[in-house]
Amino acid sequence: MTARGDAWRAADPVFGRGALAAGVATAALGATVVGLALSEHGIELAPGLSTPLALTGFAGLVVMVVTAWILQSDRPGVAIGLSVVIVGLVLPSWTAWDWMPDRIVPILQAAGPMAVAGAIHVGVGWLRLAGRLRAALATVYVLAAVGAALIAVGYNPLADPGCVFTCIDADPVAGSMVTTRVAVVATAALLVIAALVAGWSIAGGERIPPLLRAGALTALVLLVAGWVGRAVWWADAVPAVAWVAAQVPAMVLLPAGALISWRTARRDRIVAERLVTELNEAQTLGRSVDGGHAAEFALPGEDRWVDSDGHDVPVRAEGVANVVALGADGESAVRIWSGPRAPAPALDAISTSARVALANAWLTAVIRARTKDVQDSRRRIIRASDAERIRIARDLHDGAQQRLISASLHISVAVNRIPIQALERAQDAIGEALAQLRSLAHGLGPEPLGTEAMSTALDDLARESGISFVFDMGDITLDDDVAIAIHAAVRSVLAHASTVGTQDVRAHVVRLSTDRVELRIEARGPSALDTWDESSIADRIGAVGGLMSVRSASTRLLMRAELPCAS
Amino acid sequence: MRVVIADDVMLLRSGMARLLKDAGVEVVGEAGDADALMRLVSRFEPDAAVVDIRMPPTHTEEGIMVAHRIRAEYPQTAVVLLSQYLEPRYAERIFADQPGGLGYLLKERVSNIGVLTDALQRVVEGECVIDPTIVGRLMGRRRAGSPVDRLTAREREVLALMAEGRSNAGVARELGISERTVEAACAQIFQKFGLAQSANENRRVLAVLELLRG
Repeated sequence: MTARGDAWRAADPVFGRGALAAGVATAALGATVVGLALSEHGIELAPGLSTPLALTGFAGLVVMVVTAWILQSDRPGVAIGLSVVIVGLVLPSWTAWDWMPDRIVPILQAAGPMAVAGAIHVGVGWLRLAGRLRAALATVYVLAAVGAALIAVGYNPLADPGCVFTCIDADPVAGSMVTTRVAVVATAALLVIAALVAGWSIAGGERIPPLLRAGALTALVLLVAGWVGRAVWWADAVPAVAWVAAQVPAMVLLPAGALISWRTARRDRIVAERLVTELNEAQTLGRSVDGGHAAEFALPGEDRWVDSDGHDVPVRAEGVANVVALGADGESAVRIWSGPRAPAPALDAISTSARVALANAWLTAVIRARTKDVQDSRRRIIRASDAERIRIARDLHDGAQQRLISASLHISVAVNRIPIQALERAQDAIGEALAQLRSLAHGLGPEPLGTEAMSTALDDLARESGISFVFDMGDITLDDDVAIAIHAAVRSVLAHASTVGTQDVRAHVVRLSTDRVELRIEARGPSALDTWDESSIADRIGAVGGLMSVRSASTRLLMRAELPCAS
Repeated sequence: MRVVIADDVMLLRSGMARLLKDAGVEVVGEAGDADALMRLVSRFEPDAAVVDIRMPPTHTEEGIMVAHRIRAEYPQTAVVLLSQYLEPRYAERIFADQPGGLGYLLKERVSNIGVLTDALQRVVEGECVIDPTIVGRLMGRRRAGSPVDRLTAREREVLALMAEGRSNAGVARELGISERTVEAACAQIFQKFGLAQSANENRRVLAVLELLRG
């Protein structure tokens, strides 16, 4: 199972928007390196910055590019955000190149505000962009773009006292209408608004990893503070240099936060997917999940949770549950309980294939639970039927039969004292009634059968039929209803065998596991053994949680049934 | 003969007591459950107890258990168990270890007081008595290689009547043969069952036990 992308991220192709953005950022940084090499200033990155700081910033840019490439498939939103930041930071530095045409300089400067939008994009790009989040990010980009446009048409480096790079007279196209200061102040104001619009999305985005959130927010504050500083201390060159210097920690914090968060999420996802794999294997093999976790599945339309075998689970007093909804309706849900030492698995970040596996596990558990419900219902019906037959038999024995015997006794007393022929006839009639009643009542209701009693009862049946019969169940202990089902099955085969003239029937009950036994009945005879109607026996065996199969030919009948037993 | 009666149905108890008294049997006590029966046996040490198999509290096999207790604790008291219906497996449980002094009859049989008093007499003498209906079923359900298969038809008839608790004279009357013929058949049965002459063993009881084993 791979650990790449969940449902919405998988929709982004490997060479999609993330890769495109990372490619643009790589090209921009590459061009910067080439430009610096060709510049008469050599490799001086920015005037006023110490070389170590400048090198740190450059390293941060390289790391950002690398991070954008790493995340371009898994988290394309973050990769795009990083790429925008890179472009926003490196393009203004191109104005330092002496061969850059003057008319291009304001446009390059205009890329600066986009870095703020990029930093916001890095934060929210971790999440699925939809609804209000998408609207907020779009607003941020619009505000940043307006700021960028103001810089493009109104910013003249020569008129900027805090000009950091090559301060040429660029003569912007709308310089007569928008002064350089107005352009910077307005842009700073727009970026503050953008930060306020989107900042809450990042700060309140609980599903954004804390490190990424902290990195994005810090970078946002640093970048916006640089613009605000320039606008407030317009005539002072120090804030302008500080603005450039503030970009350096932003260049480091953004990729560091994204990279560490991605790495952590990937590890958690692998753990979660391994758990899902284990869950499926455990479900197939009928054992519990290891590693201090317990999986529980919601039953649709009910306030019930079941385990992977479909059994109801008790309410837990302690532990942490990570619930993941598999469908939009919220009815198909799985929760994984973690013990005190086991981390809660990141089920919301698992891959599509793992999600399908989890859905399969849920479906299996639901089917097992439903099957169990039906089986319980069948068992209750059979039990109720048996109980009613036992009650009727007991009523006959303890009621009518007792009264008749009692009447017979008292008639005997009378006959002994005064012999009257009519009374003797009445006594004979009572005797016949008793014999009929005994025949009717006996065998009407199945009695609880112990191992020894069942063996004897079946021997009786076989001997009455004149069939050579072997029955063996060792010292296996059975629940009453399972014993009754086995008794009914053997009795049915014996009755059929007797009908078709079979002489040899063998029945064995052997233990398969701690909680399962196998009943195997084999009959051999001259003919017609395959006419046995097993439907009522199959129903009874199914009702107690057993499975039955029959292989029959004219001269041979083999019936096998797997049944639960006391362990 | 002094007997106690145990049955949870009062009407049956009183009817049976009346019949036995009319037949000259002294009924020294009546009980409605197993505990009360044990108290009566302990107090009167009767010659025999007539006990219903199904009694309170579970109405299943209390009678069989109390019969074994009586035979173990008061060997001088014989027991005749009464059952409402035929159950050969009851017979096997009742007579499993030591069938002497025990009887097992269908309850409806007691309306013929002669059958009951005869059975009481036989069990008091240390023999065992099995209801004829059950004996008939036992005779028809023998396992392969059973020693009963080695008996002739006449010997089987004698064995069946022996199991019903008949004396040699009773068997002879029933079959319309002489007592000597019955004695000869008995000797053949004992020989075929490998029951050597012994002063301490009731060979008639052991022969019936062999029949019960199938």
